[in-house]
Amino acid sequence: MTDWIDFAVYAAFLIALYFVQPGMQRRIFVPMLADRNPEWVAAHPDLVRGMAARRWPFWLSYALGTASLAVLAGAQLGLWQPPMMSHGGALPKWMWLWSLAMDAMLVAILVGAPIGIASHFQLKRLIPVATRRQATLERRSLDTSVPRWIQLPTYALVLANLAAWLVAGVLGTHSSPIFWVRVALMFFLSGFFFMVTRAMVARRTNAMDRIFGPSYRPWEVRMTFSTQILPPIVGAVRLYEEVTGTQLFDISRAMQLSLAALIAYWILYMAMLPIDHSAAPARATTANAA
Amino acid sequence: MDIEINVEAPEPVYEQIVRQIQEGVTTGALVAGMPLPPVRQLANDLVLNRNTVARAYKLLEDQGVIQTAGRKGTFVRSGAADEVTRVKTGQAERSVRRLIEGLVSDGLNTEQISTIFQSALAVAAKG
Repeated sequence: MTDWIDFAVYAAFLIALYFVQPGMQRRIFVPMLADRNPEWVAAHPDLVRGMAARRWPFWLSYALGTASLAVLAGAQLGLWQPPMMSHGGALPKWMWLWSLAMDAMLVAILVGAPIGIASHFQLKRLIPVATRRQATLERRSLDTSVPRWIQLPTYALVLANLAAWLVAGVLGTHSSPIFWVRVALMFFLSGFFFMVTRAMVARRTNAMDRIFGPSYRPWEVRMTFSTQILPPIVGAVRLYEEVTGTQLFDISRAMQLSLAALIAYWILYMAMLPIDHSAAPARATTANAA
Repeated sequence: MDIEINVEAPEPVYEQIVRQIQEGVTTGALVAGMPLPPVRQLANDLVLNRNTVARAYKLLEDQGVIQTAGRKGTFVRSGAADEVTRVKTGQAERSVRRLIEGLVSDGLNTEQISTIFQSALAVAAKG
């Protein structure tokens, strides 16, 4: 029964990745061109219309998505057997479903990244940067997106988790041979998520900020800030396992499902975000050109 | 407050930044103590070289409009509006002096120059 939950989450993930995400790209394509240079878009309506009408990347995505969903459904329904593990047993179904979902994502990256990069450079070559550029004189900081009363307990939790692992290591109350690897991983992940949040606050204002309006960056920062809570959650469960020598529940499976659900939510949320037509005059030009 | 630059305008980009920050101070959009974005943020957002923004900030700092407080960042200085007025007045005085010198070298006397100025002021006052 619980396999069906895994299947539902990974199916939603694949639908978001292969069917919803291309639609979102299509929706923001012309606004992105206009953001780079509204005068150019206004001066070349036929060219813009032609570029926006290209359909083959979407059909390719839908075909890959359909194939990926069929493979996932076949695995769930037992139409083909799971691969064997190195020690001889069959791979558990939940692990197999995760593996198939990640393989599908890898395919999406391998196919989508070259198309995206080629398209980026083609547009960069074709459309000159606007000579007029705007920026805010407001200093960006984490405080504008995440209140201090949320930041401080989060950092306290992150530090408490790291301290607890160090104390367990010093006292020798751990049971796994890879304990210190896990300590290192805990430090790495805590630092990584902290740096990613900082990078989101500091990153250059891009077309997405202007297309989706002033609420976009704070949402993005809040999403990345919330990832900082992951190491303490995983750390608490893993440390319990280390200290007691018993497994509380399968944290790996829970984290894998959470990650897939988070990516699916991210894509679906962005697909539903309304385009802020009032944010810049470029949007009005875009609407006319499209 | 937003800032807009035009890289093809005859006015240098760093002067466009200086002018718009000065205008912000004069109109009250930027008040004393208000933090300004770091050089890196503004340069990234405007797709400019950092030195261009740094040059604008340095000029504003020399004029007493903004102040840099180490790692805390850059802020609008107290009394910045007065400093902007002083700077603008100084610039206007220098421009007028250069203009008068030119007129004198063209052979006009003080009375004629005064009449021209009175007339120009009257036209400006009518809008």
